[in-house]
Amino acid sequence: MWKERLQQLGQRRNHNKRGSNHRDRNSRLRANTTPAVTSDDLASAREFTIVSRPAPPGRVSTMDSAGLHPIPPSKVNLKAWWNHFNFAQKAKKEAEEKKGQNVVFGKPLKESLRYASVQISTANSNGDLYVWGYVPVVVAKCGLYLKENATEVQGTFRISGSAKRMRDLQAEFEKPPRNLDWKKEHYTAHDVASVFRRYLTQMPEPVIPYDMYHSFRDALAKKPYNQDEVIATYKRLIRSLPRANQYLLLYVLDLLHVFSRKADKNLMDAKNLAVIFRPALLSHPSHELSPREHQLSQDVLEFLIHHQDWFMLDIPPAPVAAQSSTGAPLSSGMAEAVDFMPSSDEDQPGGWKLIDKDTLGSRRISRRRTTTERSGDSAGKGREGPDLSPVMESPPSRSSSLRTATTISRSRTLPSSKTRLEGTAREEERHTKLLKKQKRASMQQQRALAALAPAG
Amino acid sequence: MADLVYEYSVVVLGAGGVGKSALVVRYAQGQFLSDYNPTIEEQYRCDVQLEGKNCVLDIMDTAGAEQFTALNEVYIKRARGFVLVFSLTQENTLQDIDNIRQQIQMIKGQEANIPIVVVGTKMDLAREREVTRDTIKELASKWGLPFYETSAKNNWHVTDVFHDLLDQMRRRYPDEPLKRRKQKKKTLKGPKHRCIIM
Repeated sequence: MWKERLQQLGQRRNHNKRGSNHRDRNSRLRANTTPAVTSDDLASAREFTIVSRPAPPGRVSTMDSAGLHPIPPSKVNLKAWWNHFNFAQKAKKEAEEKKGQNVVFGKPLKESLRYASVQISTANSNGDLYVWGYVPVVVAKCGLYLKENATEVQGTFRISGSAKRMRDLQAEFEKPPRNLDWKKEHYTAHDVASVFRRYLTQMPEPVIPYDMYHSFRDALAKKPYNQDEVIATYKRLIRSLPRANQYLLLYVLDLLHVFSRKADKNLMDAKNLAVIFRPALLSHPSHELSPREHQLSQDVLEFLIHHQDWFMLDIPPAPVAAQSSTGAPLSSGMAEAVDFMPSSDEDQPGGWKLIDKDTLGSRRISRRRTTTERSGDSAGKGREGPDLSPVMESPPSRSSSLRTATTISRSRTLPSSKTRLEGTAREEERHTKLLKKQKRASMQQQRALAALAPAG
Repeated sequence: MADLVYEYSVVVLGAGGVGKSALVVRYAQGQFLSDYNPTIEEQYRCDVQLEGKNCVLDIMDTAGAEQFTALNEVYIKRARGFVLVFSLTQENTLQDIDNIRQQIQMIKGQEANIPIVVVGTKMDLAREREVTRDTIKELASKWGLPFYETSAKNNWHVTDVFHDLLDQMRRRYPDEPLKRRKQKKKTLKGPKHRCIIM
């Protein structure tokens, strides 16, 4: 009951929030500095429900005669009604826009991540599992399918799938819950590969943003080149990408590397893959119609695919304390820190962040916003069952525990506004406790689970 | 009159991996292209004798996959004739042909009799065949276009495709693309393939 109400509340806030982007941005900015925004938001949500049925002044008189509130029509009244009317109209329009809003194809990467993202985890040199980033659901789902099923299929990515089935598959990704079960579907490797390719190509900007286009090309323009130097340059360039793009690029490069290694079977060596993925990864409108410029971009991609290991390992390792908590991915602190990342990649230059007391207050709020934004389907998925498995490139034994962690952290992010403030302090305490505990026994997942269980 | 040639530009369009390059290379160079490299863009010039006249086919081989369609519009505007290629072993590649066909009609306007030939490839892979003869007959009458079933590997009906197209272009543009050939010696040496990228 309690939970249900909260969810309703969350949804309404959500609904209201999606309203105007402008407002959205404002409130997000504020979200980082003051906790006031939540109540503010709630207030407007309430306002919205009241205002959604405005009575025009003309009808006030009929209400009058019915013996309801006798309000004489006045200038102030009229103005208030007009405002209400406008607001309601706007809300109506927004509600209509919202219908098509959660689509992920053809949307900017950051926006699509907000609607539907999946965390990517991998093991570091110690064999510890850690979450290193977020990629769009389409990419993760298709990527996983392709790695498992398509690496030996001839011409994967080159040969197009069935137009109809691709349309169906795309439609399944366009709306929540987006957690289709490949085993129950009838898609071929070419369908999935084409949708994967299409998703990337349809992004308004390639994975390597336009403003980095020339830097990526220049790094390989001079020949002969010193391989080590070029690798160093690309390390630097990749690191300077926005984090969302960095994750996606590394994920795609890793996938393409897997395929290129099996080129004897699938015929798609790095060179071929570079041709196919140039428009999605490294392209620029000014060069799009001059194919002779494409060669260099393809060379760059071929180089990146060949040497992707270098860039992969370059993800900054977790700092000591966080590493211990990543060793046990159950740590709520870690899950939250990661939750926090995708929508705020701009103002987060570093890789791993420890959760410290000073930033905890503001962080909690921003994270909360993030979760709300993504709750469009992530919360829904969390509720519907464990099918939302993050893409696992990790020992399967850990996957279930990580999944639990995700669900826990998400369900806990829907507290009521009132309990939230005092809850923050309590959770703060718990975080420090947890961190300490993990320092002591970082590898003992079971203990971490036990510590979390009463809290969740 | 000898140094006057009729030059026609042709563009080959179709989904990725259906065998556009194999078809063109078989026609222009007489060999089967067994490499598996996606094309970006390649241009071939072929000399053809037709009814005692020297003709040059300027064939543009294109990238197939849907992410390259930005260039299609340019190709379509530039070209006189079109070879639309699908794979007989992949029914869904017909859909791409249909889209391209409509795009051509849109770009060329209501211009009648645009020279187009539709080509089904990989005829030799009879066991993997997905597109039936009946489907082809039906589409041929629906679209009002000539269809050919070919095999670049076995050199079945490849020449027919280009000669049919040349024929259509000759009728459609009887005198028009009359060009003085300047590099006569170079191009007369035989079918010479030139890749503009390399």
